Amino acid sequence: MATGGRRQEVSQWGFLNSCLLLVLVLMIFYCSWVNNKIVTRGYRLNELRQEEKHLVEEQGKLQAELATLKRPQNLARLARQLGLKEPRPGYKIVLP
Amino acid sequence: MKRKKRESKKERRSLQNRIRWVAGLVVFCLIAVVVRAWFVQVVRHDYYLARQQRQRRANVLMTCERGKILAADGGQLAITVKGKALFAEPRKIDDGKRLAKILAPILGQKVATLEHRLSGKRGFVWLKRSLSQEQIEALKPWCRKEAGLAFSEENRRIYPNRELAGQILGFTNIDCVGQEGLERYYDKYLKGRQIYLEREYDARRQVVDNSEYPELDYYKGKTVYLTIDRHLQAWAETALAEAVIGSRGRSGVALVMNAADGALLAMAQYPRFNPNSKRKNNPALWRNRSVVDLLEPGSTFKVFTLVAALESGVFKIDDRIDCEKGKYRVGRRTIHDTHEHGILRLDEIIKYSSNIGCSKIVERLGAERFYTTLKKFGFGSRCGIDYPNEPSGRLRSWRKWRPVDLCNVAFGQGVSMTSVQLTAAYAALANGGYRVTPHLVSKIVNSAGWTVYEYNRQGLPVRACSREVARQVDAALAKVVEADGTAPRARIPGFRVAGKTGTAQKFDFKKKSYSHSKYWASFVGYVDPPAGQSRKVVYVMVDEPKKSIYGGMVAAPAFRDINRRLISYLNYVPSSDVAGLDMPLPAGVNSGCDSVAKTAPEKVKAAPANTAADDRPGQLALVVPDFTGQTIREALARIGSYRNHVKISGSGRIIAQKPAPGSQLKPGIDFVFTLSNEI
Repeated sequence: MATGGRRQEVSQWGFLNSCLLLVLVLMIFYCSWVNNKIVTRGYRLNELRQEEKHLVEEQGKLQAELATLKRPQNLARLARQLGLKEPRPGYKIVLP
Repeated sequence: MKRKKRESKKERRSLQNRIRWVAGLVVFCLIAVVVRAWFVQVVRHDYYLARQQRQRRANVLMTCERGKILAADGGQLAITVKGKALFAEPRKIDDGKRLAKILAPILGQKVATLEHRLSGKRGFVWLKRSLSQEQIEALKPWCRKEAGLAFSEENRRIYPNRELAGQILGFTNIDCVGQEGLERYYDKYLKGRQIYLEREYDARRQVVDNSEYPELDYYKGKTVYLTIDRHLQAWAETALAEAVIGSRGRSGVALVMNAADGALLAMAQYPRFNPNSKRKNNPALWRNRSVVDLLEPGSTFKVFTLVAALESGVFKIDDRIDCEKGKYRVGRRTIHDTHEHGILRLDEIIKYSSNIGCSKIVERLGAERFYTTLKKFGFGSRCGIDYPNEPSGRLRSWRKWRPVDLCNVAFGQGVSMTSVQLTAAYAALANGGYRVTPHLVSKIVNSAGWTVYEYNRQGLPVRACSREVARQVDAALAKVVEADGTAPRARIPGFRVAGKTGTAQKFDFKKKSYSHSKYWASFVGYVDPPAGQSRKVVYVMVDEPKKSIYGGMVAAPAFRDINRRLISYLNYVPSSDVAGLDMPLPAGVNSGCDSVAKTAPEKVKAAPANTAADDRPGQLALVVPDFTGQTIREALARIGSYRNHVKISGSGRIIAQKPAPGSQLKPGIDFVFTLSNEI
């Protein structure tokens, strides 16, 4: 009887140890997974920041181009090409 | 049997012993790991943390974007775009000669130059800044940090309007630091701050973006808003270029200044300069001549002689002066007039621009009184414009003036000032006598939208002359553009123009005397705006014109062209005030009825003689015409200065009107027109 009781006690300790080991392993896996996710997200975030930067640069260049096209001399030249003329005195009416 | 049992027991014990040994070893290892972990994580925590940070993190220096310069109309005059530069690390490059041969055609540089740069054991060398998009694409296959060749990001300053306002804006160097013009003057506001960005890297030196990103907008340069209007600037530049080319002049300057506060709406210069390609231009073109160059004003200065005369009380505008038929001796020198004049009124001296008349005024006035008036207008000192390198004007103390010097100053010789200083003095006359500070920047706004600077007049307004004197001088200036004045070419139909011509001899420093072939031809004046708007002083100067030397011939047409555009742009309304100049006088109005003629609409009929208004002396009663069947354009043209009180409903032609045709016309009356497409 005494031998049977001791065997049961040993098997309980073994089960508990196995559970703890499993939890430990799971925690290690979880931490690794989280860390891996953080790094992957970091890469992705960096990619997106690069893309954003690229788009902002592109926007800046387009704005510069637009400003160049909208400069008064250019608009006047285009207007003349399209046959527009400056209003003669009296052609412009200012409503009160 | 017993022996077998003993052997089995012995084996089991041996196995148990081995298990114990292994378990003990595992426990020992675990304890060792825990102890080591404790040592690393607790005992030497700071040391290992610092080491990790050194390996994984790096601080990158970053210069934030330079602020924009915007025009008053919102147009972008100077902006910053991201660019790329190419650098090399020669100590990492294996075959510099081969690389130099590959890069030379892309970068447009000599192979030998590149070879020299890529040789040696240097750690860093710039190969090319401000790369074009084509160059970047062509260089991409060759750029790897490990191979010792890489791109670096940089800010690039762009001036989208090219030559427009080039001299005003100035430029920056390749590192976006202001070097000339407003870029230099407002550099402390415009420049972006330099900050360190913390970056995290992995084992392969790839960026892992887990670090906190700062709000970069906060560190950007501030936006500077100018008083310059792009459209006015463009028109001023065009008109000035035409004047300079047409007169075969050397260069020219044109300014448009708001007389109320000294805001410069346009500051044109010819030849122009493109700040995007500053190295291709002659550095002499970088200089903003309106602000930096001193010149003798010539006859445009006579106005201030008149102001001094009237302010002192010694003269009245009706006083007459004998102009000696064009020749007047002062000491050993003889002063000449262009035309022979007899006795002239003070305003006629301005109208005909008589040197002798001005000389006689100051002789009677006295040097001290004259000098005091000139100082009140700020001559001989800086006007305080927000632009670098403004010189003080030159006005010697009256104690040092000889009699001939006094006369010279009276007609604008022997005194010098910048174009801006002269225009500011005219602005004081145009606004009723208050001095103004010329300025180019209206406000500065930070990236959060807060205004960090706004132009405000410093202190109480300073009077340069009384309102009454300013009014009398204004009347004298209006006569200059009359048909027999010196500048009939400055007239604009329908508008009252006042101004003064100037034709100043340039001083020849080689001969140490005034040149007889080199002149400054100028015109400065303004057009009367509608009620509620301030006058805009326009100044035009052509340097060394060849075709004609006179300001009335060379500069006045450019003044008129600029003002024509300005009138249209700022919605000036033609006034019948100037009917005597270019518009037909209203029927029934004679020259003796000034007060009525000033506000009378065009082509209105005189009221019957028995009306009440006719009883008052000097007044003329007017009646409302019948506008039925007319277009609104025709009606508004007939109403003239009454058009501020017009209400319109519907579209098409006029079918009904209030007040009824034939009723008496009174100042301040409201017109109501009903329009319809049915007739």
